[in-house]
Amino acid sequence: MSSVSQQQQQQQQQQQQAQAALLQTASTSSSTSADASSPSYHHHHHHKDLVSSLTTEQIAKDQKIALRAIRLFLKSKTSYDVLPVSYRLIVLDTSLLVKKSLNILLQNSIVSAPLWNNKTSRFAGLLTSSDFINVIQYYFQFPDKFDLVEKLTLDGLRDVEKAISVEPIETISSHPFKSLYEACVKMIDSKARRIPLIDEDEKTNREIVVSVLTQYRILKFVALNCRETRMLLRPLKDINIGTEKQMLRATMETPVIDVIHVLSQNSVSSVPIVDENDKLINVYEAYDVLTLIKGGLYTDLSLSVGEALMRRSEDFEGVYTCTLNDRLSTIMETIRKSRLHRLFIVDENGKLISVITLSDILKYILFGDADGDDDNNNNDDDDDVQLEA
Amino acid sequence: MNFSDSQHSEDISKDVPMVDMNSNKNNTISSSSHISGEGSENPLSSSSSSSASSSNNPNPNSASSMNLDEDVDHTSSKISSAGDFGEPIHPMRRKSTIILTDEPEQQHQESAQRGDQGQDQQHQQDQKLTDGNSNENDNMNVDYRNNEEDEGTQSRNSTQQDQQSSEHPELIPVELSWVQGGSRVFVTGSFTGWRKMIALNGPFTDGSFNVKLSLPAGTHRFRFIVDNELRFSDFLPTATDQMGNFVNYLEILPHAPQIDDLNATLDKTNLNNEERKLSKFDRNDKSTKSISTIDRLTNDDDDMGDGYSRYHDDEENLQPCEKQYLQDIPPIFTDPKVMEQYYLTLDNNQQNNNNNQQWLIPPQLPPHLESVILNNFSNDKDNNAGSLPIPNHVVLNHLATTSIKHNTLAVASVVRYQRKYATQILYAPLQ
Amino acid sequence: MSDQNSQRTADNHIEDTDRHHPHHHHHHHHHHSKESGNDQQQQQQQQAQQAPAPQQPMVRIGKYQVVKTLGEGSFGKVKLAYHMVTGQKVALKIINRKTLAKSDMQGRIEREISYLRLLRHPHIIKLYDVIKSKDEIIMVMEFAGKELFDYIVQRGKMEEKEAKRFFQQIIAAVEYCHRHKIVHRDLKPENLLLDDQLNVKIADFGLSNIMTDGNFLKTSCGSPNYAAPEVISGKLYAGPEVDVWSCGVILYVMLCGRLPFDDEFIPALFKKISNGVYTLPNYLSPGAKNLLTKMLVVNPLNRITIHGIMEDEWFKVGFPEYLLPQDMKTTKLDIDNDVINALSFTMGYDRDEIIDSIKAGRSPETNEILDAYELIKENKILVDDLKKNSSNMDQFLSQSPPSTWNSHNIGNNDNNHNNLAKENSITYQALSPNPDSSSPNSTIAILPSSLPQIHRAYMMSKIQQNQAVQKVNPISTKKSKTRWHFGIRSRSYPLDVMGEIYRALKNLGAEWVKPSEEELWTIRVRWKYGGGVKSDVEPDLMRMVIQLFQLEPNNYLVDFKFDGWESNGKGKSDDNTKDDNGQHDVEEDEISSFSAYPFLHLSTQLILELAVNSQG
Repeated sequence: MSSVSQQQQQQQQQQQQAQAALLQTASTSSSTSADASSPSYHHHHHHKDLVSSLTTEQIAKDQKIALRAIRLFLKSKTSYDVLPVSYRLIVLDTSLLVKKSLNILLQNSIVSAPLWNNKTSRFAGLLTSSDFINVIQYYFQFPDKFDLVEKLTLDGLRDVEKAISVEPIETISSHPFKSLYEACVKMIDSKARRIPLIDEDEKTNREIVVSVLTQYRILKFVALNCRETRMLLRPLKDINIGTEKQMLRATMETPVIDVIHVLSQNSVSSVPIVDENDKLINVYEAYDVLTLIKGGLYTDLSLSVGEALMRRSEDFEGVYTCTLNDRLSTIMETIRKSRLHRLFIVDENGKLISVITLSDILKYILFGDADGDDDNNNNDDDDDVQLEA
Repeated sequence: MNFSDSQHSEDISKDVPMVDMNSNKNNTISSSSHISGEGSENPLSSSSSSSASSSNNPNPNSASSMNLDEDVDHTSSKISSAGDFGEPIHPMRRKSTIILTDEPEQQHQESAQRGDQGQDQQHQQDQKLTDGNSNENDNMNVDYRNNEEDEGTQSRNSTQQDQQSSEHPELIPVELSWVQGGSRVFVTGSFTGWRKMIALNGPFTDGSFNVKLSLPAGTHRFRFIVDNELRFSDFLPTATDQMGNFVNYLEILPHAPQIDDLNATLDKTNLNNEERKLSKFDRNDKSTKSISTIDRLTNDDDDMGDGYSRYHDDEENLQPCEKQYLQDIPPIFTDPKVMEQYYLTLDNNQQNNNNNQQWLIPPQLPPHLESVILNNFSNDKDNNAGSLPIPNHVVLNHLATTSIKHNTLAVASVVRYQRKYATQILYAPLQ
Repeated sequence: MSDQNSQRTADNHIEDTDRHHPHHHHHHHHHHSKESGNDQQQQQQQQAQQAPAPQQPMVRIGKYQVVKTLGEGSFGKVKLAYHMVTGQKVALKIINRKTLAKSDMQGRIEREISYLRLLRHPHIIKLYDVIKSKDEIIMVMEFAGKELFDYIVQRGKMEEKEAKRFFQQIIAAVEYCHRHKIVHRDLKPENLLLDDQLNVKIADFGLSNIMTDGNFLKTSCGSPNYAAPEVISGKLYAGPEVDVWSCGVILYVMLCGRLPFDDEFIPALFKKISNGVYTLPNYLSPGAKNLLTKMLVVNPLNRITIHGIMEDEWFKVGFPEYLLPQDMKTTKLDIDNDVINALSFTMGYDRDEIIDSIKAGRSPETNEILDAYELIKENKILVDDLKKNSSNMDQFLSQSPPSTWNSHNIGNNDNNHNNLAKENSITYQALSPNPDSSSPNSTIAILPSSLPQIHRAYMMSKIQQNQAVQKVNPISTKKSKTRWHFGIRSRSYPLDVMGEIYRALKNLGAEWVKPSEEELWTIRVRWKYGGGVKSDVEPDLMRMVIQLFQLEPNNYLVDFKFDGWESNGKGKSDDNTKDDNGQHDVEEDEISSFSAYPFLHLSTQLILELAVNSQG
């Protein structure tokens, strides 16, 4: 493998600056997305020096105030409030073939879908990319069972889980009219990245999936409606959030199947890809698995992760990075403007330090920086990819 | 042809009036046409738009096959149905075709346009004043009050602050409190016309502020001004206006018991202003009885002496009678003789152009059912919440379908969920 | 006699007692004739007469003292009366129960009563009470002396300002009705009464109906001159759009003194209406013309909505605040330098910024600054207070930039109560301008090498020799546009299509109600839904309405509509629209069932069955 020449490195640096400029222009144009209700009011107030003029204790105190206010906001709002006035929900019948359901997810550019069992007319859990990861691992373990995999229906997913001895994630849910805070707590406790909202239909006493709420949509809702997010000015290095986690890394040459094992074993939702001097160059996300086995052909499993990444669709927005000096206020602002599921923390010359996922942010907002600095180093899961609800 | 509004035309037609177009003011502003009095025919009920003008002979060359093909990868293979249709009485009539695949895009448009022109031509032909006494029975005007509670009717028991109304609305003492700090707190709201600001007394030892107001029954919106800044209390129900600003919100029931402490309303889940809903947890009494109490000028009791007493509309309702469900198919759809008779009446109708037999032809599809909101689902990156345009109420609970692809059928229906609209889509396999 | 009664309005005495001569048939001499025929609306028309009525014996109905007869409806008289205790002037609409029962107006009167009781709006006639006796039903209604119709007849076309005032009141009342799911369907000047202050009162809800989810309205009703094209052609409509058309005609009549669509010969009138052919006199202002053209649009889907009207520039001029539905209240601001100074000091906004925002008016961008401005403007004492209390002011203003965390004052009141809100609002305000991630101290960026094109170039450059890799192409991002339609279509004979559906239903074990003659193309299905664990508490009979529509000659559409649940046996119907004979089960909890999945499941079964059958 030719060593990355000096010249190529500068070239990448310039690209990075150009890219950052691009991002900046994107963010200054007030792309008020459909549900941006809080005014994004730009004005050339002399804000810059204001922040630098503040002492760290002032910032720390204000961060505490903001966190308390945001928690109060989450407690006073319900999951129902997050739903648009008119929205769609795609549900799959459990008798569908796994292969077909994969096409449906890709076709509607959604990452997960509730399952409906028409025999019991009951909600039967959520189909997510981890189900497809399980199927791949099953196929890898029992390559001769190809025709069984071909005819596997969504009902059959549970037995695949048993076959490769993966303990099924317990299906959590929340009532749409319970507080948003409660839904967040349930998600963090169960390490889930999304939570179905279940209500009971008075008429038929049958439970009904109202919608599926993701961590991204909750954080975006907070960023939009809660001005206090602008007061979260403590840099990442000072607060205990997603720092120094021992993360498994891959290189472009790592076989994609190994990356998939990592995704499934550590129940993380992405694996960073670094070059020889540990500089972050790309990321393989759990969602990419779907594109890998589209159309039911499992031949690509032998590809390297670099090659597998070429399957990614052109409109992939890119991987977000930040540094330890960044602040939650700016991160929340980025969440408000564009769809991201995690930020990789890199040092000045792009060397990978760690990752900060949406669950890390949500956990910090809910529990972080309480009066005592919580020092439990959260080194567990990563955040899953949600393209959409 | 009645579609959906009334449930059972035969037993309600008796109480549904033959629409009397003759407004008692036959003045020239209202209608220049001279409509005589009793039993005047109803010019408005001229023949239905889908008058007999539509040619009735089937389009012989249309493919007679069930094109259930999978049009994704391989060319659609027409599965021509060889099934016979019993011994055909009408040789040229052919098997039915339930088209489940997409008509090619362009043909769809063109048929839609033809549909429009079709309607226009019908208008031109539709000039003949119906002479016969068309029994256009207005079975829409069924007397039922759908008290489906929704934002609209639910707010009915809130009395509009009625500047005009002469009677003095009964005021109810209410205490507003602010428990979220600050050194000076004011409140302003709909009861002060968002103009005046009422100062709250406090801060008391516990830092809270409160004020006693007397407000008419109904819904009131208000915000607090805490140290010179517009705020909403998180301990009172909030509602958002279109701009998304949260305002606090308080509903006072007319004869509700004295709400001395606002915190009693604390457990009320937040109500979104333009999406006010009845949360399951506190379903208040919404029977119409409570409204008539406010209406009445006076509170005379029901019995008003010498034979007069108050009319309560539910007494007059008849008891619901059980509908009779059966499983035999009406002969007109199966018995060739009856079908024959139908075609004859249809044809002679066309000849003498008497098209008061409106019900002979299926009704024209209303324009609202021509487009499904799912078709304009914006898939751009901003729309990650799967949001859709707001549907018209008439399309709720109707089935939407797509063509069968990969042997899977997608069906959907827009359903009201509290104050919002959920378009529920189900993908199911065709076994 | 309370003072209210003796109140005489000086003007507009219409000495027009004799109302019984036959209807005249020409344009300009509008004559107001009352027929004893089957008039379905109550009209109390004249003002109290100047000369006292001949002394009839003072008749009393319940607590109301009858003064005189105002007019004659088809079911009985309309009388002016006053309440003996409160002296309130009312109109008594006396309905003879026998004639009512004989005719088929029973439903309409009941509907008018139930709807008027729901509606309380300054511009909708109030139904105070309803009294019944052995042979009469008496509706005690708000008294409004005049009619908009007479007003137009006497004075011909109005100034735009006056017409707009009436029109604003009408639209506000109609918006209120629609918000309560009630469509009037018979809006015309005859049904718009005027009180002494010339405020419009919408009356006669006899032809109105309620809008329910998923259901269309059909009746052709109302007078043809004011009826929308889809109404006169007997089509199905949603509801609100027909009221909008009628309001358009009313506006036209007020502004031009004549009908937009008028013709001796009915079919010609229909032709004009359905083609939307009318002339707009050029003395109308552009704003009025523009609104009229948007209201009198033939296609109901393109016709302006009530909210569209309320947003219309011409309409909004001088729109009284009290009419605004609660959530649309916004106020205009004038520029007050004191307040601007106070605002720019306390909040740190630049002066010209505040002025620009005021000029720009309310918008998401200016909302925040205008809130603050309005707040301070409303609260002049606060501004003066700040000035007076110099010490506080100095300390307050001296910090430049205003200290966001004046630790001194935070300290003292932090401990005694957990100040959850912003400690010191200025902290929060000063920070309100959002620090974009673009501000220099943000290093958030997108990793260029992660972009697909750059990654592809990178991979290509590294491993030319391995051709197999080249053809790993990205999945297509072209989302295949799935086309959605309502129901399913068929091009065969309508009778055959219905026959097939019936057969499919029969095979699936569903049952249906025997269709009446008018409902040949409708199937009201009841279907046992097997899904779900057996329990009597769970209603398991689903109701569905299948309706055949014509798209165009010999092209039909089969529409399926979910129509609620029933529990078997008990026959207790708990549908969400209406029960058997149209009477609504009052205490039924009508939150409509929002789980469509059983309905979707059964519909797929039915569609499969249809698909299989037609393959023979």
